[in-house]
This record gives sequence, C-alpha cells and structure tokens, in this order.
Amino acid sequence: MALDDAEAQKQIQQMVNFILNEAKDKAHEIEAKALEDFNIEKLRIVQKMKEKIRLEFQKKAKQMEIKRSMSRSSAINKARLKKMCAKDQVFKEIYKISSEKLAELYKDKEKYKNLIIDLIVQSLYYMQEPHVIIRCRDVDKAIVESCFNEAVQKYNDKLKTKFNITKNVKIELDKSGNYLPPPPSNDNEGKSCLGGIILSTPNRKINCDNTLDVRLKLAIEYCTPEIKRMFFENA
Amino acid sequence: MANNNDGISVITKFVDTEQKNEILHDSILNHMPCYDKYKEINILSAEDVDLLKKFHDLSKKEKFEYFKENNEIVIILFNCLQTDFNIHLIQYVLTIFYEIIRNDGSSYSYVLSVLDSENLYSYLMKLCTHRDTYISDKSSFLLSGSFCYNNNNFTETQIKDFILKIDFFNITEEGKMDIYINILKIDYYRQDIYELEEFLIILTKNLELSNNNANKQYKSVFCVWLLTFKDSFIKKLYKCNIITLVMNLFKKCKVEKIIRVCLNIIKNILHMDDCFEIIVDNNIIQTLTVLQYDKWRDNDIYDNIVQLLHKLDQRVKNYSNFERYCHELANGKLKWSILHTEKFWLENVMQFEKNQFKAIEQLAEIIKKYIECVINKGDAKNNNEEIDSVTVAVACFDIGEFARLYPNGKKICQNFNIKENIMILIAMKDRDIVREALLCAQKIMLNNWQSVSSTK
Repeated sequence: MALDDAEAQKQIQQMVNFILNEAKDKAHEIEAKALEDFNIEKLRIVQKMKEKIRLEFQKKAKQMEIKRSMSRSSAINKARLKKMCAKDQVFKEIYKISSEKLAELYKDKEKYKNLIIDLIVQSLYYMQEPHVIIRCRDVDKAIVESCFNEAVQKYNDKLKTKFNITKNVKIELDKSGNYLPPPPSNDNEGKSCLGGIILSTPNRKINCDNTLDVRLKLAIEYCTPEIKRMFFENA
Repeated sequence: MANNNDGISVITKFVDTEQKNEILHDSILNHMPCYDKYKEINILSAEDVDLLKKFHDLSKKEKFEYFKENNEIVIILFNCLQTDFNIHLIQYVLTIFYEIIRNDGSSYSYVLSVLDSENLYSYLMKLCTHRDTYISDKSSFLLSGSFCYNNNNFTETQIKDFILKIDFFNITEEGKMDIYINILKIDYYRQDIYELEEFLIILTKNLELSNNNANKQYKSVFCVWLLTFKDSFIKKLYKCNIITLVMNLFKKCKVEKIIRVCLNIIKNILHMDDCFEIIVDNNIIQTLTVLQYDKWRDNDIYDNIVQLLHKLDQRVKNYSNFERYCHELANGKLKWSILHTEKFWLENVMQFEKNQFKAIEQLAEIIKKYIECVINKGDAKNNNEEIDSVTVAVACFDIGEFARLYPNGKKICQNFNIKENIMILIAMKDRDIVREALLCAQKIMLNNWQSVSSTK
C-alpha cells in the first residue's frame, strides 16, 4: 500500500492546505471577537467622556447662573443707589430754591417784622428764661430791636390767655458784635444766614436757634412725606 | 470506534469541499490572463502589462508581500475589474484580492486607503450581479468585508442599499452566508440583516442536523454567534428556536470549528435565564465533560471547555434551589431536570420539611390524582386536569429520594398514605411509571441497616 512519491506529496499538500484553512478560519473568528470587543470598549469610553463633558457643562452653566444673578443684584443695587441720589438731589433742589426765596424775604420789611416777632415769641416759649439775649444778622439789627416790645407784649398776652400767668422777661440785643453771618450772595463763599434770630441765656449756656436756615431744614424734614408723595408717587 | 469513523468521514468531506475551492482558486491563479491582448487594444498601458506579468510570476507568498508594499499594483489590478474585460481576468483579480484578505484581515484598511471607495463600491456592486456566480460571490464578499472593516468610508444609504439587494445577487447560498457574517459584525446593521426574510430561513435550514454540509453549518453557527453579542437578539433567537437547534448541533457535531464557535455562543448566552434552561435541559454540561477528553487540533479549545464548565457549574448552583422546585410543583407539571437528581436531593432534602411537608403532600396528591384519573378514564371524559406520565414518574422518584435521605422520611410518607398508591402504580401500563414506582417502593420499605447501626 506504499503510495508513490507524487501521491504522498499531493496528500501532504492537501493536509497542509486544510490546516492552513482551519487556521485562517480561526483567525477570522478572533478578528470578529476583537472587533466586537473594540466596539464595546469604544462605546464605553465615549459614554464616559460624554458624561464627563456633560458634568463639566452643567458646572459651567451653574457658574454662569451664579454670575448672572450676582451681576443682576449688583445692578439692582446700583440702580437703587442712583434712585436714592436722585431723590436726594430733588431735596437739595427744594432746599436751594426755598433758600433763595427765603433770602429775599427780609426785603419785605412789614412781613419780615411780623415774622421776627413771632419767632421771638416762640423762642421765649421754649426757653422760659427771665433774661435772654438775642443775636441777629447785622443787616437786621434795626428791625429786630424795634420788635422787642411788641414781642414781649405778645408773649405775655398768650401766656395770660392760655395759662393765666404773667412772666417778666427781659430781652436784650447782643451788642458784642457777635452777629450772625450776612445774607447769602454770590460774593461771599463762607457761612451765610437767611435771617431769623438766636436766643440765648446771658451765660450762653442755653441757646434757641430760630434762624430761618434751621427752620427751613425743620420744615423740609417735617414735609418730607408730603414732598415724597408729590414728587415720587408714580400714580 | 464508530465515533471516530464518523469523525473522519466528516473531516474527509470537509477536506473535499475545501480542496475543491483550493483547486478552483489555484487553477484561476495559475492561468495568466491574456494581458497582451489588452495591450494591443490599448486598454492597459505597456508598463501596466509588464508589471502584471511580473506579478503573476511571483510565488504566492511573494505576491502577498509585493501587494502589501506597492500601491500601483493594487490600483492596476483594481482597474481591471471594469466589466469590459473577460471573465477570466476578473476572476483572477478577485481571487488575488480574496486570497490576500483571507491571509491577513488588515489588508482591507490598506486596500481602502489606496483605492477610492466610490469606485470600489460602484465596480463591486455591478459585479455582484454578474452572471458568473464565482465572480458575484467574491465581489459581494469583498464589498461586505470593506463595509465591516472601514464603514466610515461608505454612507449608510450605500450599505443599506447593498443589504436590500442581497437577495438579487447571483450568488450561492454560501456566498450569501459570507455576506451575512461580514455585515453582522457591524452592530448598526444587525437588525437590518435579521429582518431579511431569507436570513432566518437559511439559518434554520442549515442548522438542521440532517444537513451534511459542514461549511454551511459552520457559517450559520458563526452568524448566530455574531448575533448573540446583543441580548435583544438572544431573546429573538430563543423565540425562533434557533438556540435549541444550535444546542442540538453542538451535541452531535464533531467538527472542531463548529464546536469552537458553539462554545463561544454558550458563553454569550449563559446569563439569560431561559437560554440557561435549554442548556441545562440538553445536558450540555455532560457533553462538555466528555468533549474535554477528545483530541483537538486546536489547543485553546481545552481551555475554553474548562472555563465554560466552571462558569456553568457556578450558574447551576445559583439556579437549582428549593424555590424553583416549589415553583415547578405548583405548576403541576414535573420534568426530568437537575431538580430531580440525587445531587439536588442530597443538598436540599432538609428544606422539604417547610410548611409541614407541604411539598411531599403535593407530590402525594399528584400520584393520587393520576390513579383516580386512570380509574375513572373509562367512565367520564372529564379530562381537564390530566396528569401526564412523566410528572408521575418524576413524583415517584422524588418521593423515593425523600424517603431515603430525610431522617424520618419513611414515617412521614406513612402520614400521606403513599405506600398504597405506589403499590397501585406498580400495576400500571406505562413502563417508566412502573420502574420509578418500584424503585420508590424499594426505598420506602428497605432500611439502610448499616447506616442505622453506625449512628448507634
């Protein structure tokens, strides 16, 4: 049963080819598995990275949100401050205009005199002192002095009608040259006074400031709600 | 010895088919196409023809190396695929490409980097409908392979178009399966291939045991393996009974490469419960243990088998437990499975005392009902709760095991009047039932005096 050489060779070649083919098939299977593993791994890594990027962007979005709300609240603050400043400005304007008007007041002698009398009476009420000294502006000297008697009269009248008492009060003008500052004008930059008087005890310990400046300030303070209602109410 | 003869005959059949292919390839390659004719008609230039002639004279191995290192030969060869050329030339070129790719799968990337993919697609698509089946086979194989390895070079419409036209190509069934294999490697198109009408038909046909063509069986099993990577497909395959077919094939087949791929399939499907049931029902574990001792040409198979056995053992431990037994009992139909083996009973016998031996009571019920059914069969046709003989046989076995292994088993069986019923069963017609009943009676009545004396 000896096969001759050619036959043997042929059979060997056949077996070789067969084994080679089997090997190629196995290589094919390994490739297919590798392809699948590769795809799974790729998918996994892509998912991981996507997740990472998603988190990153979430963080960024949150940060932007925070920044936005911060800038929003600071803008609101700024606006509020501006509004306050503007309101303040309005009050300053009111003060200025009123001051200007008041500054003209002393020119009307009649009215001014009556005013001074009332101011003195009011101050006397507050002070309840037997001896007071009045300070006034240099320019008002004459008017003020002429008011003294009338003022005291009025004061006593009022006391009698209301409380049925009489008080003796002595008014004196301050002659020590300690006048209140002059009326405001474009020349003098320093202090100025719109008018009115300051009463004090002889020992200068008790003072009652009844100048028009102070009264203006008080008036504005007192009328602040009204002013706000007039100027700032939207309806 | 009979087994070996079968094995050898299968292998020789295998070798035969492979040989035929080899012979065909060689005959094509050995015959040099008539390049000169083309030089005369001026389709090919003179240098090209010289290069082609030189290429032809190289040995196979040298051809492969030359191909890898020189782009021009690739381009020139590819240009020869235009259909104006005669059949032999086209066959020649396609065979060269085929051999090179079979030899080294990474050649796809190389070829695709050299050639223009649009041209490749159009030439090869045209050739897929060529009247010569060899040409259609090879060209569709090459095209589907290019999709698989470099599917970025082709658009989705091109690939889907190709898939839809598969049925119209003039290819052999093996060629079709090669295409399926190639495209099933791409996850995105698995669904498209699965939905092709012919796909399941071809698969089922070739997985039948009666089919003798080992090559086709191998390719079908390969297709199934590629689908088992995704759980959704495992479910679908299970519904179409393909998993069962594969398991049957695995048990009977002796061809090494089919076994190898089947091992991979089992590895992939073991985590699904219903497939695991099939595996267990078909006694694959036993088959694997036997296969361990066979002689395989491929050394890796031994390792694969051992690994798989180990995994299956672990799964089995989780799977066979008392709960499943109760479940099965509640269904009323018992089958032979690992839940009715001595091993199961040895591990789980103490659990049967739960609920005052409810399980044993149920088993006794089954036997009683069956007897009643048989007695009343003549009278009434009231068969809405027919108990089949397998269930009864299994019940007998279980009772016997319980009586034998549980400390007071025999006494407890007395409580349920089992002995009388078993006696009646011995007189039945069904041989399985008779056998099991006899064994059971034996276990109930006899005592293991030696064990009793050793405990004293």
